[in-house]
Amino acid sequence: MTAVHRTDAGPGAPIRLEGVCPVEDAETLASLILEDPTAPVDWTACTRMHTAVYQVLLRLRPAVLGTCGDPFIGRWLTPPRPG
Amino acid sequence: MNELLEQFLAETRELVQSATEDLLALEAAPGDAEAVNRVFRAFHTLKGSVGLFDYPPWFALLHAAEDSLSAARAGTLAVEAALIDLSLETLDATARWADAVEATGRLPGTAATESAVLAERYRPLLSLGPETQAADAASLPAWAGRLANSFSDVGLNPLTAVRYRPRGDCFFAGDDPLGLVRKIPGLLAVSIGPAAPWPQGEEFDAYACNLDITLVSEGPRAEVETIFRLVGDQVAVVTLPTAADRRTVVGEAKGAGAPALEPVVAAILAEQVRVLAGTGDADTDAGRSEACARAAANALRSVGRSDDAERCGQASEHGADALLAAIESILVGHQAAPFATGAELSETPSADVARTLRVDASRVDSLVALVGELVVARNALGHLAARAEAGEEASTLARAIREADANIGRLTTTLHRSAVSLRLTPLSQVFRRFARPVREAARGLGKDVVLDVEGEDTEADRGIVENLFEPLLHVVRNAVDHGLEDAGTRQRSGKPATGRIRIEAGQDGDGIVVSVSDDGRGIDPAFIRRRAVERGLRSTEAVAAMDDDAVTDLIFAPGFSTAESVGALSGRGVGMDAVRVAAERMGGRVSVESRVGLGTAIRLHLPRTIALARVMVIGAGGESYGVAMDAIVEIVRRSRTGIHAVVGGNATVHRGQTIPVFRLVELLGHGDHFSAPPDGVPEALLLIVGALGESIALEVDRFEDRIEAVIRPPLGLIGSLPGVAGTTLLGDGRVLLVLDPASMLSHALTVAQDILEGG
Repeated sequence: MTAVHRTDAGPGAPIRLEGVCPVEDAETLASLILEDPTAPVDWTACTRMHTAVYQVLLRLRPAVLGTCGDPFIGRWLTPPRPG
Repeated sequence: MNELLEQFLAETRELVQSATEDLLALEAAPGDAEAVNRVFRAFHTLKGSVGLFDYPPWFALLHAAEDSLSAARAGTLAVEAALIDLSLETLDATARWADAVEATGRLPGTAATESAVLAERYRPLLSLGPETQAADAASLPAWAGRLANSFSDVGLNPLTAVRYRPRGDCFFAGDDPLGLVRKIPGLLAVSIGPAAPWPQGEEFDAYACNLDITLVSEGPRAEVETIFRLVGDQVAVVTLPTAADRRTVVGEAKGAGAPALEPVVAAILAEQVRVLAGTGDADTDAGRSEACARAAANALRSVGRSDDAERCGQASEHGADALLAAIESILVGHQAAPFATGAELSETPSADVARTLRVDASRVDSLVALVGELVVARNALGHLAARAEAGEEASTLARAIREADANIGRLTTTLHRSAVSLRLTPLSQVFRRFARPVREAARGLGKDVVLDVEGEDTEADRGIVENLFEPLLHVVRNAVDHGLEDAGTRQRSGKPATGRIRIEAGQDGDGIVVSVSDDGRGIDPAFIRRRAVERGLRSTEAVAAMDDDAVTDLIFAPGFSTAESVGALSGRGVGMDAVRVAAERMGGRVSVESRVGLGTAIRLHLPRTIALARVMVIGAGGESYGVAMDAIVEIVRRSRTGIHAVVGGNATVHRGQTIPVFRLVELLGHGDHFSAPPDGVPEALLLIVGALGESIALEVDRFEDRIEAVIRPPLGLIGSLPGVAGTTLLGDGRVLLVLDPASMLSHALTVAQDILEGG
């Protein structure tokens, strides 16, 4: 179930979104990004993203790696500009 | 008036003001969601407070307005000119009704009709809503317009555009807004962004939804709508015009729907409704309704609506009620323009209705602190008295008393200053009221005008600030109407097409200066010379001898109107002379500076505080004079038999004292015609005044009025007349000579002494 990972504690290591990312992941993702704002988000392995999760990316604008594994997001909602 | 109502009226005026400002801001930037929110909240509060009282039409109108604004807030109704205009009209009506309620305790007779007309006009806005709002590119909400433009080349099938603004708490309700979007057939584009700017600095709330999703689909509209059926209140659906549609739209737009009544005609009809609603006397009713029918029919025929005119004629044969119904239905049916002018005239309450004074709390605080200090200072006096009783030495006591005196003196002076400052009001109160009239004036004339306001925190006495609006409005309208050229002329002379009007205020020594300047055509002295001669104000030789500044100043002369034709706005029979009179009534003056081709600036120089004197207006002979109330000790009526002729004059006994009686007409030198006391009047009106330590009776012919006015010191020739305290202006613009009985009588006192000694 858990779809948000932190592979190791090193700063700058990517945050990975995996599988189905439900609404609860929004908060986890947000706190991970806020903890280490330089960390990019790897969303290639995410198969379905909830709106709330997308909103976190839209608002916090982390660097995003690759194309989103969720085909709808990948096609229509190209990565929010990294900021 | 009870306190609740008073509070309600004050609050209503503030809400009307702030909502007006927000609406105007919205007009400039339709996408401002926060402004939509504020407008909605203002109407919501207005409706709520009106609901506390029993004004059903008012409540109904505000309710209709609130509904539409609520839809606008949810994004299902576009914030467009129609909605803004209508909301502004609603605020107008609200302001007028508040005035009426304040003056008379009830709504004006036309309120019910007006409310119905306006509420009726809200309805199409709403019902157009999601179902039928289509095809007309001009009527697309801004967001859909943008989408429509970016899809201008796509296919022949109509496209469906959706704006979806999920509620803030939608995640808690289990919604996944993008989940819905995924299901849309024939999706062509999606864009997503924050609905409102992200909150700054707050704790990050990942579960507060703040998204604005817009999308375009080529799928059938019905299917798209089905997907959003559970969140219908958060969605706006619009059918975008196809390329083919769009070519025809322009042509159709003009002919579509029943043409609106011209404002003038609507106002005439509204006036008839008002007259008819006021009937009740059976004898006069028939004649009145016939007259109303005729007036309404003529107005309608003048704009080519003979069938409606016919209807009025027929209805009037069935009595006043039928006619009333007919006119109302014409008004409602054609979405008439505002009522303002007609109804306003008769029901506008007088300007001197008491208003509550809103005071900055810090001023009251400092006043309270000062009073506290004064109490402490007073306690010191008791202490001093005790010391005196204890037999303290006079010299040390005297020093202590002097100290206490100085302290109390300082406090009372400061207290006085603070108390006076309570009446100081910032000019922003007046200035903020101009955005609206300028916009309307500019619109009416088809001009583009930007209004700049500066120095609105300059303060002046409430009496001045409240009286400033009218003259200033007149100047501002003049600037829009006559000062600024139309866009074409401006461009030809190398100016930006948009005219600029600037209202500015600032301190000027003891007083303030309020100026209205424009970057228009300026005033051509040659034209003024010609016009002054035409109007018979000056002779040709006289104007030729005057320098340009003096000539320009002639625009303030009574009977001078520079408009080529009587403009709809400013040519209402009052010229700039009304502005001069108003400024002088407040104890100020007005000046003009103009440069041909560059613009005009009109300046009002006003005192910062005014000292109003109470003046009694009395008649002597055929003239009116003022006497300051302060100078009058007593006013008595005395039977003529109680006035005795004595050597050299008349005298009467007043409170056991013989006092001389002078007739004012004689003192003023009009005595020739009036020297004999009029026999027909058995009583004499006597003003007992004090002059050089004596009581003296001054006989006047009549009392006319009591006014509060600023007395201006006598200048020039008037200043050299004995017995004149100054001049003031009456409401009708006449100059009133204010007499100083003491100095007037002083030269007569030697005679008076003789009388007293003789009698």
